[in-house]
Amino acid sequence: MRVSGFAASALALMLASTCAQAQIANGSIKIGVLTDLSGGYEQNSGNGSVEAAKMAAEDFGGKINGIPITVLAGDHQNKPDVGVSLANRWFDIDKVDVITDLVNSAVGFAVLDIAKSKNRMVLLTSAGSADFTGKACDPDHSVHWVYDTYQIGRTIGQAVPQLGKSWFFITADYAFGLGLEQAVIASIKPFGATVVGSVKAPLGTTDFSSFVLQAQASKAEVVALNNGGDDGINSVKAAREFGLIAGGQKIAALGLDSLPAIKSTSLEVAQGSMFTTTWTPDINPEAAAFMKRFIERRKTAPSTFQVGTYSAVLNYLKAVQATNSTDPKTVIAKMRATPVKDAFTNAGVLREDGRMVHDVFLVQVKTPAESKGEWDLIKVVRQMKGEDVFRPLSDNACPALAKK
Amino acid sequence: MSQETLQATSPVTAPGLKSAGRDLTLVWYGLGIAALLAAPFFFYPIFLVKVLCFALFACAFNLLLGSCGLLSFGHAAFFGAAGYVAGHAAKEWGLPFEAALVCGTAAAAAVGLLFGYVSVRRQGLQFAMITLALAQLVYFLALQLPFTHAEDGLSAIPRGKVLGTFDLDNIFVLYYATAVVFLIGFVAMHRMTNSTFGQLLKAIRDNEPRAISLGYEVHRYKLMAFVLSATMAGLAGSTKAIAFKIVALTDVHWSTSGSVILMTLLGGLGTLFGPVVGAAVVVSMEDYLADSGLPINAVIGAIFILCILLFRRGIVGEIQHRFGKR
Repeated sequence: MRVSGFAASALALMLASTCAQAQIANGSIKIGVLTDLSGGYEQNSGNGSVEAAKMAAEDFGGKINGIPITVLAGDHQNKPDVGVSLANRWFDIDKVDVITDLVNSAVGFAVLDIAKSKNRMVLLTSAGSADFTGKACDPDHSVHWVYDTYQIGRTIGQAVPQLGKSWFFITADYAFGLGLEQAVIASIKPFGATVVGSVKAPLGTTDFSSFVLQAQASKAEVVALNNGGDDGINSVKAAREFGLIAGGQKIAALGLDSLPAIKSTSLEVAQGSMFTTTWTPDINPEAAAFMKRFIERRKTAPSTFQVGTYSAVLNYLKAVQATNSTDPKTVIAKMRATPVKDAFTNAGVLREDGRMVHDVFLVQVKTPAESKGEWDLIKVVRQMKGEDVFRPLSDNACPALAKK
Repeated sequence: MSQETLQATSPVTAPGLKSAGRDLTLVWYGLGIAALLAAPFFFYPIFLVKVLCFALFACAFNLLLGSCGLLSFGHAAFFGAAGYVAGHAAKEWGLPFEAALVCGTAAAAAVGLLFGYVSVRRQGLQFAMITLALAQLVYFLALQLPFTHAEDGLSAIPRGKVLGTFDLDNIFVLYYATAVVFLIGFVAMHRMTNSTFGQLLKAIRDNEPRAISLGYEVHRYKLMAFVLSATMAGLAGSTKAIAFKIVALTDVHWSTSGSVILMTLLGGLGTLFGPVVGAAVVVSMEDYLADSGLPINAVIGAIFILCILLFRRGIVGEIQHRFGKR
């Protein structure tokens, strides 16, 4: 009893002295990747995000100032209560410093709330609600890295000059498809676009001929394919068969958002379609190198969320290294002071409301002749400045900022 | 199968054995309360809170299926609707913890009355499908109504203080408060099943025409059982909403209705502790497999298949059956 008591106090002393040397709490840097490892978001976030976070840790040799970096992976199964209890456990027992990815905004909001109460932080890379830097904003505990719903709308609106003024929608007939259609219409109208027609295709439609023929007959400049998954592939196929692009119409594929999705659609079918994205692999050599490294490990190209997770974790760790601290406020202050230049963006700025502002792109799927490699799939039509597409600070959307 | 289980596990009613049965129940209660008191020193309290909320939910479901023979496939509607109302009451109206729970539970009772009124005249598959359809209506309401915040969920619900003094943000306070709510619900349901009302429900379940011929208005009793079950599911949902500070679409989704069926069957349908054990098993898997790298749904599915193939009475049902034989 006495011996063990002595050992405990000696251990406590040792711990106390290491803590005194470094400001990093608990002598560990732990990053939790809380994501969907088994459901519908797995392809764009999931295991790829976990791998991306690990790659960022490896860039530091797995250690900062001799303190090991650990990456934990958790599957919230798209159930907020699982996310909540896992996040609580990670913060309380495993002493996780930061939780990232957080695909599924309900889980994101819940975990942000926990991080706030326990003074830890979140790096939101796969969650998209604009409320993370709006109503729910908490600049001292959260960083929103890749995209948000405000930016998506603005980006499509900004693309009106390249795409066209008259739009025809082929929309998947379910809540999400209808919601997206409303949002897109709201964002293109201020840019002078009109909607000449819209059809609702039942979910799981295999033969899009009649819908595509209506779109063709409407003579709309832009045909928006407002669907995803197999429906997306089938509708792009039908648009190709009926020669919409050859006839001078433009295809805006709203559900086509990542390289793996284009790859599974095939260039032959998807060529010429346009979509907006937050990242392309040819922005700089780091991006190309990251993509190569990622493909070696995962056998597929990264999605924008996964590159974003890599970038967010990398910049977080840089700030931890520079400040020798894992205190959220200190780390975030350092992250704000450091411009982001890495595989994700050339010129990113972390704003005081927690929004990372970076350039976004309108891209077009290459033709098979243009493609020079397995993953050489898209070309940039137009680069848009971050400040033009992300919600400006002057909107005063973040109540926490107004109080200061 | 279920009939046999229920007979094996229904409370002992022969006069000579009555006191022995009651003593045994008291012993179980004592053990249960001791376990409730000690548990947070061995397990992570927030995990236990989740187990208790789902255990109460599963007990409420068991009240309807076990004693009344009605398989509802829409219990998530009560669980989730109560959660939304309790969460909204605590967050937007600023009501204290207890009042928010009452609001949520009352809302579930009201929804239950509505559902029950429409559905109890039917049985079996028809009943299950009607409850499922009604629950889907609630789901779409939750998707569309502004106060639920649709996909984003109703989050950052303040937990507040119990009786205005004990801060629920302390996880031990939260645990013991949840344990008290659970005990109240559990004891209430246990009393109900063992009362004359409970006996009558069993009579209706086992032979409805005979109960009618004896002059009972069976639909009214079924409706009462349905509303009580919905109310208890609502109590569980409200508690979960406040404890986890979030209510989201998953709480009203049909998969939650499925999950509570799984918990009840896995633990042992119609048994006293079965739903509690089933909920503990499912919640532990969901939570502790989450960062293990194993495919959770596949594991839960495999366990369910094993359960169906090897011990159809469920975990507790099987144990009781073995002991009963000896």
